[in-house]
Amino acid sequence: MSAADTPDTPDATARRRTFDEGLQAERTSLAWDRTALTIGGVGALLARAGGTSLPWAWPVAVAAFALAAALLLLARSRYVHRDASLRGEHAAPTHALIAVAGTAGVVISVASLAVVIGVAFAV
Amino acid sequence: MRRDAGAPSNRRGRLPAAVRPPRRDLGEDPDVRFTLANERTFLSWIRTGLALDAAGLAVVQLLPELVVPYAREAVAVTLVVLGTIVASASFRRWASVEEAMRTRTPLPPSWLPGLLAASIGTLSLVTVVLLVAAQR
Repeated sequence: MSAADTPDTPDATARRRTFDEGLQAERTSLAWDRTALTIGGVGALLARAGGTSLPWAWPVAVAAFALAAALLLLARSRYVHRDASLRGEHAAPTHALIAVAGTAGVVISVASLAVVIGVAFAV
Repeated sequence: MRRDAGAPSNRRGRLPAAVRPPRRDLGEDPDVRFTLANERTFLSWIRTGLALDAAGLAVVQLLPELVVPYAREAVAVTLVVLGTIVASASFRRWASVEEAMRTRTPLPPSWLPGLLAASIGTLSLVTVVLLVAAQR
């Protein structure tokens, strides 16, 4: 309460303005969370659609769950660490994480295609 | 269409183009807001691809048999093929935008929104007609 009355030094004001202006880091972190949850959700759908007739769909679903959990944790720690880079002017994107997410999307898509074809035509 | 042709090959040069990230030493770091916006756009595309996969899986699980034989299966396969295209294009899109921002060149055009809008529009129309026909 009394801290709010204390005038800020120009340095502190500049730092607060720079930090996460427009909530860029928070929105990016939430986007990673949504993506992780979607990956887990499609994994569940894969296991459900594959059922007992396509048992190989289960390992794919388990891998999707593991990746979803890892992405949730990594997004969390990235958000915390991004603090430092946002106080500067630049933030390097995490290329490896983006490549992992992109590859996972393709792998899950191909698995879905195989499940749809397997369920639809090879019963 | 990589602009860094002729640059000395590095470790990343051996990766296939589909998963080769832009070089960090290319140009200069863009504004952090643009870097993060590009990252979120990539994530949105990936989620779009995954949603198309989910829709295809749901169609084959939940939709009743349609009047036209294998129409349901064709709808499901089309959705998942679209999901695969979107998912595989999203990384390259992110990489080319990142590269354009680093070199301060115009962002590359994208055929993905047009393809997606046209095919989902057509697919929805076909599915509605088939569903209504199945109810009669």
